[in-house]
Amino acid sequence: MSHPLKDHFKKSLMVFGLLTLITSVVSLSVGSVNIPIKNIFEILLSRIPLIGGYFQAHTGAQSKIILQLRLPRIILGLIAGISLSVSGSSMQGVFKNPMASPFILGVSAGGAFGAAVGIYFGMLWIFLPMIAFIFAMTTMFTVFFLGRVNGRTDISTLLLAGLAMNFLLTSLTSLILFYSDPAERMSIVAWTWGSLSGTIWNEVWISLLVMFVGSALVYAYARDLNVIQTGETSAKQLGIEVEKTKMIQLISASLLAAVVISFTGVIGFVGLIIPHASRLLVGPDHRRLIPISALLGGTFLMICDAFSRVSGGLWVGVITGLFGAPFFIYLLLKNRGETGW
Amino acid sequence: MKNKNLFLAIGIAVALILVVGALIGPLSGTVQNDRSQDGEESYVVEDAAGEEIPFEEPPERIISFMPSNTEILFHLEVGDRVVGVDDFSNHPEEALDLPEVGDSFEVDYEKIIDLEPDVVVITEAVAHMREQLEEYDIKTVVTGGETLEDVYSDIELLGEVCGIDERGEQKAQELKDEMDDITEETRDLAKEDRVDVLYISGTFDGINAPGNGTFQNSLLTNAGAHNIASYKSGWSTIPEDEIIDRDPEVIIAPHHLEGDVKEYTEKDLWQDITAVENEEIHFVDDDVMSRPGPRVIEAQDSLVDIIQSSGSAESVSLRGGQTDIVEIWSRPLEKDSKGAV
Repeated sequence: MSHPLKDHFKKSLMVFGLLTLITSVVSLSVGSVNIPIKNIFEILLSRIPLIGGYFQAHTGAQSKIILQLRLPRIILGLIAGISLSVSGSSMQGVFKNPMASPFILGVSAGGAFGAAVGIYFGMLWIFLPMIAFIFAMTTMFTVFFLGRVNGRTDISTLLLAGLAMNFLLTSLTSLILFYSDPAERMSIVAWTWGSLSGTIWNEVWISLLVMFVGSALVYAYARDLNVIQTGETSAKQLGIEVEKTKMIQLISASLLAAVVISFTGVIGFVGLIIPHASRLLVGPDHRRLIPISALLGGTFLMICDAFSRVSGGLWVGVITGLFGAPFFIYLLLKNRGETGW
Repeated sequence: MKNKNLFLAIGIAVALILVVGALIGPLSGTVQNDRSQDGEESYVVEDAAGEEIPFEEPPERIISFMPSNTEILFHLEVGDRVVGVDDFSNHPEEALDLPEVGDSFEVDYEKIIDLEPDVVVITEAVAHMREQLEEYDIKTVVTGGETLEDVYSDIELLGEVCGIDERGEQKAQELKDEMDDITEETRDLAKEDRVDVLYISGTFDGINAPGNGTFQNSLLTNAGAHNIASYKSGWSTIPEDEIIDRDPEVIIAPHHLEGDVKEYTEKDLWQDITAVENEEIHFVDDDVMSRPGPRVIEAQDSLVDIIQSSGSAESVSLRGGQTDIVEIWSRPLEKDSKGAV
């Protein structure tokens, strides 16, 4: 019963929880304008009801930069990291394959295409996450059914179907790009690569809500997903509704990825490497995997975005790719043969 | 054990909510500026985007986003009010010492907020910045920055914004008069008396040229040219077969493209183009030719000079005279001697 991974889980949880907190505070001090940490704390604390009065209230530029520019951006980064990682964990669980992720299966590209369509037709920003979700889910199920051979999911067919959808949707997005106004063009380019630049609070609220709903659904069916992993036949014998669990997992995973993507654009590799790395840390039990993935993913994306801001606006998706791909290779080499699925 | 896990999970969820909540808690409402309502000095300006922008007093801190806007502000003798410029503003020299706030590719909003501007002057091409800056309670004025008429109206507009309406009108009128002066003999030429000109503005993925509706098209037309790219509107890429078919008599390009243009004109494909045959390939100042600001006068001047002193223009004006024949016959000879080298 007392698996060494279980102790590891608690320790990891504390370490990564703390890391997430520290990272979010530190990244608040990163930017082209230098604001001392002391001022940042005062700006934040003076806004908290009851105790706020004890701290010096800063007004003007510094307070605006922290509260209206850096804070929403960092929080959206955190939410995006959490959503993409939980989405990836869920997909990897459903397909029993560490290669599955919103990015690899074309779900991200689907969401991005949906949002591009929305931007092209001048839709209100509030509708962008919805249309992104519709396209992401359509892509998810197209890939899912394409990957189904004789009632079973064939993983190589699935990955190839994802690849094909990825190409198709990326091409369609480029097509829209080609026919759009130069002013709209920039915003479409920015999020074929992913960017947290220009985040506003309304985007934070919506993605926060979706993050909680989506993650809760994924977590609620985590135990069932664990059982399904040991074998679908035995899971059915244990009274688990295999297809329903899978559907709920995939819809939640699409929702989590799509809503974030409709605001930030395609940020690749987070949903791929974070669940994978977390699995190496705490094992394949989804009840442990999902919280750790969330914390690790949120921290990872906040760090990548800090680099993005320091670099003067390099797209965050480029940075996650630069960090993510070599890290993934390192994990592969280090654990070759040791941790099978 | 199972219950323990559940509690742990709930604990994590609560901790997560607290972390995010603590970050979000201090969310600010928009800071309202309660300026005294004198009503005496306040005025409203309608900008090029049709937006009515109220001013309580003439802005003392201006950020100019676009080199042409910077040049106009200094031309209006309010350069001392400019506290920040985009990365490309390099004229007049004083602009080089001002803080830079990014370019249209990546706007440094932190810097903009930090400079505490009363107004940010942008153009239609970067109109999306308006929405973002409104998020931070920063006023924007959009200038036209596209056509030759925009140059005059932008000067008047920025005069109004700065509370120097009369000076703005006067400066615009002066510029218009000067432009009329130097184009007096060329702007109304009949179609058959015009010189076919290709103006190459860039070599990104082919030959880029300013078509109908751009201020370069107006400058070329007023200088007695027929812009062969004017069959297209706005900025576009002109296919090489179109260029050969339309056979320009003069090719003009900015200095920084000298190498690229040479690569094209040395191609076999281009050897029958009249401008290449006659070596009528001219280079002009990059900045004055690309900025719809007060220096259009310099651009206009050099274009009139190049076009009217070209062989084609001379043969046109000497039509029917004896020298005309000499002109025409001397050309193949020149080419032969060149070919022999």
